[in-house]
Amino acid sequence: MSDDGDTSEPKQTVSSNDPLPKAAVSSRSQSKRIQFGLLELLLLMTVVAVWLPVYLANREIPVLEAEIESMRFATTQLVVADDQQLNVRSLPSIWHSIDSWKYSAPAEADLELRLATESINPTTLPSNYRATALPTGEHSIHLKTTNDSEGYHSIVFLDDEVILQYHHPKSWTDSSGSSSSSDASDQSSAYPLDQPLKLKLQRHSISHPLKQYNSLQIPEDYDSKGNCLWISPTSVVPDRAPVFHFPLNDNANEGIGHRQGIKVVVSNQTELRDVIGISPSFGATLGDNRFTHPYFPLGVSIRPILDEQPQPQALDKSEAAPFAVPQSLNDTLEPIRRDGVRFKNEQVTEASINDDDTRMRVFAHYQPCASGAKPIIEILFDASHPNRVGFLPHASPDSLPMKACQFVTRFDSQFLWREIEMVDNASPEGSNQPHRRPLASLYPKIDFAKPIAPTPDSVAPFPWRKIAKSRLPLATMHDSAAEMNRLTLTTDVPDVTSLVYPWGLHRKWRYEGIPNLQTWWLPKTDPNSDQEISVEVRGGSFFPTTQHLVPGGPVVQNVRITVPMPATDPVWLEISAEPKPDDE
Amino acid sequence: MLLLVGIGLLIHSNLELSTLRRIHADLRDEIGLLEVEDPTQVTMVAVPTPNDVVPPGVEQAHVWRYRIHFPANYGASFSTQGGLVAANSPQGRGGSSSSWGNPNKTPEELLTTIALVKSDGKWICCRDTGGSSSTISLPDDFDLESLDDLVIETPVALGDKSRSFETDEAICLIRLREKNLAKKRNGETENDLYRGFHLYVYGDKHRAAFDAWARGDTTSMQETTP
Repeated sequence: MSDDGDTSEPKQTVSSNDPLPKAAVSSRSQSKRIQFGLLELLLLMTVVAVWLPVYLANREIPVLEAEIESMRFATTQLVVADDQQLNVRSLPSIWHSIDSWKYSAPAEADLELRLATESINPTTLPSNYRATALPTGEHSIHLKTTNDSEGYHSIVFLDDEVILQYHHPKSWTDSSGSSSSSDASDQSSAYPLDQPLKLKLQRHSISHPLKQYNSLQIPEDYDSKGNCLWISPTSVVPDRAPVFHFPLNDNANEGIGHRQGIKVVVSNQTELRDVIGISPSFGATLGDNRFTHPYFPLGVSIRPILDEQPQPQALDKSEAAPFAVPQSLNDTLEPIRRDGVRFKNEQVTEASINDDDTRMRVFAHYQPCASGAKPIIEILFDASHPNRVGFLPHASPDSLPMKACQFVTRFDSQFLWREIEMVDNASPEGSNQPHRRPLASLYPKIDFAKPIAPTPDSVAPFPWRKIAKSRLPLATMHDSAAEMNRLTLTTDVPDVTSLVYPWGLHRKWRYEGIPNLQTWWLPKTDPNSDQEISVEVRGGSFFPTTQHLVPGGPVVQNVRITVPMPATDPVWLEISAEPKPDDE
Repeated sequence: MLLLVGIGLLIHSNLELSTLRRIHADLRDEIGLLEVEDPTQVTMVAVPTPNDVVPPGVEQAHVWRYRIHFPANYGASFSTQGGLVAANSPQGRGGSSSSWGNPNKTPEELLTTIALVKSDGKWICCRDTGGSSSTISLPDDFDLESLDDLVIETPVALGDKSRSFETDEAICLIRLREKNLAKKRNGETENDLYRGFHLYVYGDKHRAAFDAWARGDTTSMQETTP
């Protein structure tokens, strides 16, 4: 049958050798293409009759599913998708202080409902919690979290019955807000019975110590107070939260070191390529804006001193020598074989942490210096001292012999350290009581009170000043009987928010946190030997590389610790909050 | 072959479709259907409140719920006033709370819940919209045990069909007030102010106009008609 219904037309036959006009060929092929019989037509109609409803249904089904999902959200129905698993959904809320869930657990499930209000972090579940057996079948769970004049209250209901609760006094936390998350969907979902399910993770923020009505979010990897409610298999014991932190995703910007303390960071920014960033603990810079990423308001740069170079005391001339450039942080002292290539994928793993979780050590490998030196710095963290990081210099086997290694702090100005704790020269023999001496006492020829205009000379830092080890008080680190010399820088500004900074000053120089200390713990060495560690500080009136005066007068701009090589004991840098008078 | 596959799929689709239609019909009966005829307008329908939406730990609660379709780039902003409120505008005195939404590039449907909650002997007014919430306290002497003697105005009531609004309208989601004008301490009546609270929603682009209206500029916006 043709499309015009005429089947009586005799078909033309042509031999392959007969040339046909183009039009005739086209007409013939067209009529061949559209010819089909009655049976085919009926079959085609049947196929269309079958497939058209399928097509229409497949257009309607997603619309219905979306509307059903939307309407179900407004109900309190729990749809059990898999009766062999834990089925859970969150319920619509009428008050942000009460969260509700409905669950259904199969008869063989052995589950607990657990509640914790402390040591809450996003990566591990708290190990200190209250728990109750979770009945099987379908039930509702409600968590009511309120605070009033008496304190903070967390109450868990199973259906209408109180089953878990915590009550903390008002002094428990100085919270002014919180952030929350949940692994339970607001749509009915099935979850495996052998895995914990977080119903609510609420982390309290804390009030800014200096600014009224401002709150501070506790960093992600830190423990915080709040509420953590989860369903867990009874047999599952939560893993202990790690003491140390290293990036799991090769993101060096996260920092390496104490999970809840000081970390080191290596940045790929060109202007920071010769710095190991120091990210102090949250408490040490409490109140400072930590949103910059990576956050390291302080840095340490390394300058190796070769055997033939001048003595450390006369190193001012060597200022032109550039700092060494860190190439990688990794687990081993073994030199890396990627000379000249700076890569950001850090190779720090569990192997950097000792078996009992008390120490972590990583190695900063440096690019070869023009001088031929190639330092490797062992960086140490001690679980007992979350505010401290240790440095022990080594020379790579392919390095020229190094006489010493200098550690120079960077970006100190923002912390407004302008006092140094020193033992009085005139103190009676054996007295170790330090006093805070102003930075000005190291520069008697400079009038710190005199207004100063920015000129190429005036914006430059002051000369280095050596501080005799005899002027540094002796102290012991808690876990060691060995006495160490201690250099401590302090500030005379109790509240940085009261300062007026120069207009146009980059925000990186505007520290917004509590007063803190920079402390170096130095192995006690024989002052008469050439293995003596030397200590120098340098002041300045202007923020580095700017023409903006530091409010309140000159401050310490850098500390330089020169460690003779080979070194056997590390030097430790500590950034800590200024103790409150009643803490001392 | 094509026919056999088609027949198989037809049976499967029909079964799935009939199941979904049955669920849809049940839910529509329970919740109510939000019919969005013009997606560029705000459309809402009142949603009933199942008993178990009110959780334990709450002494008493009155709840109003709406399914609301917000058009693209609307930026739902909410403004609540508690204490003294006017009968037909967002003017008032007392505690207030505002939240501003970020315009969403695509239309969205959100469940909005307004609840008067009594906990620890005190009444508070809570609003929850898709997880964002706000709360204001109500005066201690404002008796909400029974709502019988109060005037309650909502844009749609339970059982009503979906209602649409232009995006430049401010919609009063609820106004709850006493029938008589409030009295001053000296016994005189307040000028067009009643004890109660109200909650408005409006588009982010019209925030300035709404604020002006709330301050008394009656030319910047007008109350939507019931």
